[in-house]
Amino acid sequence: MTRVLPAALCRRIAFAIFILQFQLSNASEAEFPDDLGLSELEALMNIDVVSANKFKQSLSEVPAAIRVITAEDIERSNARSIPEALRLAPGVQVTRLTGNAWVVSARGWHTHYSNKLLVMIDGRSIYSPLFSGVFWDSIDMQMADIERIEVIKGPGSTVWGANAVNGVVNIITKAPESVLGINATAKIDSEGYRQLDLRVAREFEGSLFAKAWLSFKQTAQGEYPEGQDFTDEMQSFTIGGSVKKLVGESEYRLDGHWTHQDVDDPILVPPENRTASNRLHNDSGSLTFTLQRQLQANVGITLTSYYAANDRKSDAYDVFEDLFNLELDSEIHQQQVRWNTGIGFREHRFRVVGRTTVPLDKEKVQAGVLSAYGQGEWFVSDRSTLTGGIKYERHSREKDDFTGIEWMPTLRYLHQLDDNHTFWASLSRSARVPSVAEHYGNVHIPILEPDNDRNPTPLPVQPEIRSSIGLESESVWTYELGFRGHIKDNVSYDLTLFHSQYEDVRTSRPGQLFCQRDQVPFPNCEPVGELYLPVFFANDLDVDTEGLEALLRWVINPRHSLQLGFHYIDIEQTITVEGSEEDASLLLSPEYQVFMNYDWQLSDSVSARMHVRHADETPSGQVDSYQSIDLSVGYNSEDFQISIGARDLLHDGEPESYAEARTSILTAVEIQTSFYAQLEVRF
Amino acid sequence: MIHRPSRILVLLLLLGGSLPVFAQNVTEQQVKWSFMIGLTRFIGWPQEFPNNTFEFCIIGETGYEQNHYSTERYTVKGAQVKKSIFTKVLPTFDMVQSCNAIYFSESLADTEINFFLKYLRDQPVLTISSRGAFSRYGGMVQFVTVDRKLRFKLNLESTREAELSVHPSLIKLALPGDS
Repeated sequence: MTRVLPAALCRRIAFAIFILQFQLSNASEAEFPDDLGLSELEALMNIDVVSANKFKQSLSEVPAAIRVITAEDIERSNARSIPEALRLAPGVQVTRLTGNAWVVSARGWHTHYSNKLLVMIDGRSIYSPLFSGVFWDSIDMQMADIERIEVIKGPGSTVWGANAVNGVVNIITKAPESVLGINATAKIDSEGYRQLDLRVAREFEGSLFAKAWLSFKQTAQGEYPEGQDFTDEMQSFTIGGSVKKLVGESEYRLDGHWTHQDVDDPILVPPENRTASNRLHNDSGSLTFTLQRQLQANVGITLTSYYAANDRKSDAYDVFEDLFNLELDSEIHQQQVRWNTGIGFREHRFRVVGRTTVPLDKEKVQAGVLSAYGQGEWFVSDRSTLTGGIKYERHSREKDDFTGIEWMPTLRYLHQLDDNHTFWASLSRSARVPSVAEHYGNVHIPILEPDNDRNPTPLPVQPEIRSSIGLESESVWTYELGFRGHIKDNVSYDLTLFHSQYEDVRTSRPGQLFCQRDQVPFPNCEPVGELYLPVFFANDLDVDTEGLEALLRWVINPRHSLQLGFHYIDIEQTITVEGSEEDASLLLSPEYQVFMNYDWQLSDSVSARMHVRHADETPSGQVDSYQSIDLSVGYNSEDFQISIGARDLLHDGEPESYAEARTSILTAVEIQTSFYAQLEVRF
Repeated sequence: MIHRPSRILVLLLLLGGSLPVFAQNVTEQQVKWSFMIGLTRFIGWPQEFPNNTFEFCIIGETGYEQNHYSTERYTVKGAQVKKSIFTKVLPTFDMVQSCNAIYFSESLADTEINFFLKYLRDQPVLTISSRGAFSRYGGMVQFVTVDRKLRFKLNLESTREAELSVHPSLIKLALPGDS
């Protein structure tokens, strides 16, 4: 609530302002003013202030389509998970698949097995080469512990490496010294969601800071279409900690976490039982060590090493995956140039065991990556920067099975047109190395029922994906143009146009139908029950995409502000070998999506947000266009914050997406309106 | 002489009457701006300012790059205050060599700020930011908001290393620092 200032204080402030604005221009001969001059500053220190809306950006990555989702954005949106927060970035498509599974993709390619987005938490990659994707369900982070999420759309491979084909999501948590004290948060909603977070951060003698945190989360049963008895409950428990020590010119940091989850997963169900959920028990953990050291005034190095492991035990498969990573990065400032260079080594190990099938050709697989990169940023003039760089990566699988060498260059130019408007352009190449599952996978996918377009035979067909060790990397050249700036003082815009040319995109190439009993091609055999269809992966597709991403922010006044996000994408697929099938994941990306956030600061302590989003129908025809509204109101005081709200108002109850287009894996939760409350207490 | 100024009048004065958008409330940003300019009067630099110009640099997006945050009326020890902004690109060390004071945006990463602080450590440049732990890392003036009031921390070890003198009255106003 805004307080009325007492007259005496008003006089003092007026005096301060008067002094600051006019009297300061009179040069003072004395080295210091007398004590009376302090009253100006004291008066300023007595004014109640409200935080202005800031246009926060990370400067080092500006010649790119970057969107920084700040802690304030996350707090206002009441996002419970990273995917929900990513809805605030135009160009990123986020849909809910089950109570705990999400589909997240950038610039199209929207599928549960989305494989062109790299995701990092404090510099640790959580991208799994097992299926070239991210296990979004196993990320259990405290949203109040996130400092910012940097979403860089377009290829980011020169710095981050292969697989950053369409974007990089960089999640940065709060440093222990910035969150000293105790923070407890409780969240509940009408669908049975429960969450409890606790974080403690302390300072110790000798510039040592530490934080520890634990979380408990539970989601309840969602609604599924009639006849589907799927369950999607989840319980998740996470414990983590971070220690940071400053010693002279060096900063040491150690981060660790362990998560245990019990999940009912209706997506990755065993092939022989497609009506009941798969019970998953996930254990995942990580330990990251970071050393930052200033060698000279203009030379800094960072050493990052981490070990991470993920153990997913289920009714269908046991998957164990671990990785060790070591990298050394340096930054050198020279006259008009800033250099970034680095070398890295990473080794992944996988062990996959099927309960009833042999999911991989080899039970154990090792995959290694060696990398080196260099990037220079030339400050061509006060208004222009030219960035050029290249990354080399050598990928290997099981010694001689596969060796992939990737060169990933980038060239970026930024020009400040005037004080308010900036233009940038970029040209970059990226690549996606085939996943372990694509190389060695040997799995049954859902049966094709007889007598239809996809299976014209009178018998059911069981497709079998066969290991495709010859599969090569997919590559992309992306051209981008960007404009950003301010119109007047209170309106900012950020516009990106992109064109991407993908080559050698993965396709599935059906083989010859055969009868399993006598292993003879159909129709020269006597089928018993069903026919079998081997399916191989191949690089038989070229894809062109082009589109536009826009974000507009309007600070109407300190109490009212508006954000509008829009993205449009046009996709064209060209099959280069007859018989291959186009990429179905492109059929789940609508042509355009829009969102709007309206923030209203009702008083100094009370704020409200309305989030509206609309998505066009998917080209596959599976999901109609839909719109949804989230509403929230929050009260924020020094010691606590309380929020209440509603999610998915106006939603028609239909699913937002499906795991795959055109397959019979059609399970997806029906989105229902829910109401929630959230309490955060700080000590 | 202002006898009974209304709150609006006070704020309009504060903003120089040029900010219609923010005319109803004082933002943290506006108060910090006036405060920063004001506190330079309580700092002593070891050298004369070349060309009688005091260069006040801003690194990162802060809002101060906008024209209504003007420095035309201000002087420090007789030198005209000139604003230099590095909003779109991160400057090199050479580009900030002529700065007498630098304000670092909160939007910068810790590593980016630390990089500059280490370079500037023994140079007579007043460093200011609202970034958490700024003074702990060697920044000189760190703004904090307590009960919606602007407060600041001083790192006197850093000012001493940089040979900047600080008026005792300013030290009294500061919160306990990290030095």
